[in-house]
Amino acid sequence: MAVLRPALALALALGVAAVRAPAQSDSTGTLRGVVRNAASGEPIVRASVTAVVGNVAVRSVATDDTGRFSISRLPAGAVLLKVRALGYRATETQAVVVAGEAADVTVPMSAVPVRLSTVQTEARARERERFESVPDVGSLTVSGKSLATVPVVGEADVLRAVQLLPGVVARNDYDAGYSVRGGETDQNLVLLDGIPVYNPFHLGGLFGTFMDETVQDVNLLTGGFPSSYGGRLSSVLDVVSNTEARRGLHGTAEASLLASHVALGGALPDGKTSWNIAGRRTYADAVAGMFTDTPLPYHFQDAQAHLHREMPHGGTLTATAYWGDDVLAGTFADFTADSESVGGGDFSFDWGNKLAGLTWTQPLGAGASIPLGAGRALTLGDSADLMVRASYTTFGTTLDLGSGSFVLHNHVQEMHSSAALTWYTGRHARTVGAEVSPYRLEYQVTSPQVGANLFELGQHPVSTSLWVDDAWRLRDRLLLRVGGRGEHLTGTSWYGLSPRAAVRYFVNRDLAVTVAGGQYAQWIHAVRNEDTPIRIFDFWVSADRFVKVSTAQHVVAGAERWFGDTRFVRAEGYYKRYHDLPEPNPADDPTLRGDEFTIMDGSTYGLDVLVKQIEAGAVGGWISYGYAVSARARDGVRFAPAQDRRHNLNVVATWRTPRHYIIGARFGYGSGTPFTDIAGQIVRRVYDGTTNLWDSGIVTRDIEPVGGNRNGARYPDFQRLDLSVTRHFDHGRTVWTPYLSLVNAYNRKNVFIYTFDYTANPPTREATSQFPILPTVGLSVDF
Amino acid sequence: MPRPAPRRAAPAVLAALCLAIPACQFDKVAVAAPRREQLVVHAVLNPRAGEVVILVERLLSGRVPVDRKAPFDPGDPVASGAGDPVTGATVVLYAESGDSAYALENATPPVAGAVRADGVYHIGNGPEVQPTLSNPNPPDIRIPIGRGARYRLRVTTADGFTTVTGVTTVPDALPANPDPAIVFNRDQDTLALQWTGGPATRRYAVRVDTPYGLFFLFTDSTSVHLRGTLQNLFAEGFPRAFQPGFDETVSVAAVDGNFFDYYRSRNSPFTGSGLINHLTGGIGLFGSYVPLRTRPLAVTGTRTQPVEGRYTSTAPGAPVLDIWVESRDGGVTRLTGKVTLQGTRGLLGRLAGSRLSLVVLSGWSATDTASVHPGTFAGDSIVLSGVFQGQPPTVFHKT
Repeated sequence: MAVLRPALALALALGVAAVRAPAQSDSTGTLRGVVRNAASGEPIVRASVTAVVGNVAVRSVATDDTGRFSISRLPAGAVLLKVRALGYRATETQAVVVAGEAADVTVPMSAVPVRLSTVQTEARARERERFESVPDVGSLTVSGKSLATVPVVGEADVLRAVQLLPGVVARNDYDAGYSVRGGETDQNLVLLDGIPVYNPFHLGGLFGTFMDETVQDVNLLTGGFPSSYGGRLSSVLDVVSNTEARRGLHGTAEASLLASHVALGGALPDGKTSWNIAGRRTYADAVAGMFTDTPLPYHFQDAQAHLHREMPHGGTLTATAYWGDDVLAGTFADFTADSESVGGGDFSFDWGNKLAGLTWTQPLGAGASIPLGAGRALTLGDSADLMVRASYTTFGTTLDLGSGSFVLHNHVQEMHSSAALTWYTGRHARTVGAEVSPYRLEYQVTSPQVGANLFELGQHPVSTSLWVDDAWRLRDRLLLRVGGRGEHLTGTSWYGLSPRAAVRYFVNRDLAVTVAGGQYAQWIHAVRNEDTPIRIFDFWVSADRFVKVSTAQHVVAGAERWFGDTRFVRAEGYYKRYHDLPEPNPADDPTLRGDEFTIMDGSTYGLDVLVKQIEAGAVGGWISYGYAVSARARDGVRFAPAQDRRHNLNVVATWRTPRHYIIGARFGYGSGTPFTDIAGQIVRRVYDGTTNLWDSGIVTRDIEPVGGNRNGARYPDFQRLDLSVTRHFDHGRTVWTPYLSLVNAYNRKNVFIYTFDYTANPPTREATSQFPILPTVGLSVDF
Repeated sequence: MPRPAPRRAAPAVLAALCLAIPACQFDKVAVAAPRREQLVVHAVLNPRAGEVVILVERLLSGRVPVDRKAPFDPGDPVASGAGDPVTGATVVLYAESGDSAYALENATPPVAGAVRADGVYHIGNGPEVQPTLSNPNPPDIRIPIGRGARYRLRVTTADGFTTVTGVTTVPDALPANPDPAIVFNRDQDTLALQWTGGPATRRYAVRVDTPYGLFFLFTDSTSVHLRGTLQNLFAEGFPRAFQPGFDETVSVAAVDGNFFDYYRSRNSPFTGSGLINHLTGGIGLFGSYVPLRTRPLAVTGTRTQPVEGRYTSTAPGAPVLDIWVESRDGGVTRLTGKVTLQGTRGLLGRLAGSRLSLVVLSGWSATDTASVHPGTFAGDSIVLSGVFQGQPPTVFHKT
């Protein structure tokens, strides 16, 4: 209830509670309904629904993410609905509009007999739909099911697939984190059904949080994103949960080398409620035990649930919950070379995300209005939609080394509430929205065994945002989107105004040029040095009177050209500037506040090119190329950030053979990323004040590398070829799908890090490789 | 000697995680040594010490190979401690009063019988040597190290091309005499230490000399409580800090900011950055350290296991064995204790079933193995081989 209260307050603030039901004129009414797959009952998104009266097409709309549509102000009487969706047979349905009322209608559609055509056409429709309807730049969509065709390492992984998109740079094979157009990895807003996710990774970044089976769509905005998104500087990754609309019980069980998972779902007999649950547990610990005596006391487990309920009057209510837990616990003696003599001790390290959220959407139909008093009212145009969301997100970790010798605890919690009201008037789709997020962040370092509290930080800021957006089809060839966000964070004196704008001009039906730009702000920061090439997770702190709110400006210009309905080329150039980027200060004093970060500024410019063949036939995939130049400056010193990969090429292809095989391939090439060359090694001498001797009592001498110019060198180029083969076998009502993946097929030795030895003459440098050749097998069973 | 901090814990955790990573090493190549040499200086002013020992060496650059496994000689800490010593440097310590003293390199021993130690320089702590008729121009090789006073160090290489300077202020805390040794039962006791601070103190350094290396903690409190269960975060495997049978020392000192910063930080293995260095022209430490408490401990534990106890032998000249169980893991019991025979030394062991293996140390460090003795344990008796060279196994009985 505490979660819902702010949401209701927001709704009230928007005047939503005062929105009156649409008043139909005497001669018009509304048709609303849902378009479904006739066989499975799944809703069909982005279907085109045209109302024809007589021989005149009077209105045309597209179905939303739940397959729903609403057409208002239709003349009373018979109306012919013409429904088209790519991959489905065109359908016509007669309906009757009753004056002053809203009539419900369900439109079933039959899929054309192409395997997985639903998946293919969803992707095609979504991208073409975006191209035609909104002037967004850097917008990329990948269907969750099509992710299964990308070769995998152990587990299908959404975030691994995202790394293959233009503008996205993965530092190395071991990191599921990603940098977007030169930004740091904490600058990406990750959402699951609109709910923020703080650390979407498992196993030190090797795997992403999202289970493949639970994902319907992945939408990535790599820059210039609209005003509905805030709080991050570089990108938005919006993951949409899968909704199982088929009646009965359906699901998938899958076992791979690392984990097994089960996803179940179905729709209730009334057809208005659908549910999905999924769970996963790794057994890498057991697999490792087969190959080595050294135990791997690590596993993670997660579960996700999604509920979708159709409400009266065309509304929908969705609920999403996720729980994940990574556990690394064991005895240090197991990792000690001299286990004969060391007494050992226990360690416990666990971390994980928990989130839950509720979203209510309600079409308000035509004529909805907000009373202004004195008998006056603001009419909300042809139709309107309301969205109210409340969510709870938490990420926590506790590291306990040696039963209280050293305990580190970090906890971030966000209670996010938002509401948005969109109304459509003529060529405008205007939205006003509000967001409130109270945060609770704790960071404690203690040593109970010595009674020491080494560091403690507690923050409870509240961010408030108001935003407006107007998507305006100025002319048939001109789309305009303007908006902005007004933001404030308590605990600081910061108020931010972040204008956003985008304009798209259609040279012809298939070619458009787009220019976009905006300002962005970020107040939740990860305590992380980007130069460290592997991440377990991030510690989060908020901006406050010591730590500034970071800002960035984006300018993006590009062109997109479609060749038919399934193939397009997009090229975008961009320039970004960053201000007040925090970076952990290695010289901070743990008992002082305010010196935890040093501040950087920076910039990135580059070019992204995407050539995509949507899976409409046997072959699909994309070629993405990114060129980017990034720089950061701190204390007058300019350097290339660790994510500054200048050239990045990914070729992803799938081929569906007539014999139910799917062959997937991915080739990646990247120029070298920067690293700090090691200029020597220092022997850290330890002073013994009791004896006035040096290094007495030392068991292991500490010899540390000393770096040269920051990121003044670069690793060699990276390249990797991955292959996969999948085969479907139909057995009654089940489909068995074994798969084989081969990662790094020609065993290219890509450099992960260098280690130097300056104790030898001559000094030496040795490389540690990224993934060697890695075969993976698995089996999934769908029913 | 860093403080417990996330960045110290991270490598251990990363190491554990990296066990899952199927990476491999390749492409080992020779690289060019850096063109420019960097000087590394370590010096700490301690008012209670008789002299200031300054270590001057080069950053390891590959020009000179060093032997990381050479036996360590505390009197020759640079050359025997994997360092590349710098000889012939001019090392001068300046007091704010204007006094100064020149260090003598061990290559020219100031004291007869001192070992030769390259890169090790000494300045006496005490009043200047006054001129006498027989010695009208005594060398400036002594300077008093006073509490609350500020000092400047200047190190110049023999070729004059490189100069390193640093500044420190000695904490104005009152040194205390060493405490008497106490028996410390790690299963029951908590060591509580209190002290009196003073101006110019940045932190208090708490150090425990354990068999597996140093445990180090910085605190801004004037007291500390160390539980007997304390585990050593800075030793491989995080063993317990207090090992029954061993003599260990807990010391507390007031330190300046240079000392605190140097030992609480470290360079990242990935970037080679992170170390907080307050020297100019080089890397290292010029800091201050005022001992406040020194508490020797005779560590014991509560004996509950059959193998635990004191063992003696009727064989003439046989040592006395004191044995405790350190931990149990699976079918293996790890032992700790001490051997008493014309002095006391540390003892480590392993018991699997009735098979026993005892390691006698040459001192109190777990790495200094003096001898290894296989044997058996049954009932209240231990039978050990190799106690007397060329003699049959020796039988020990629990007393």
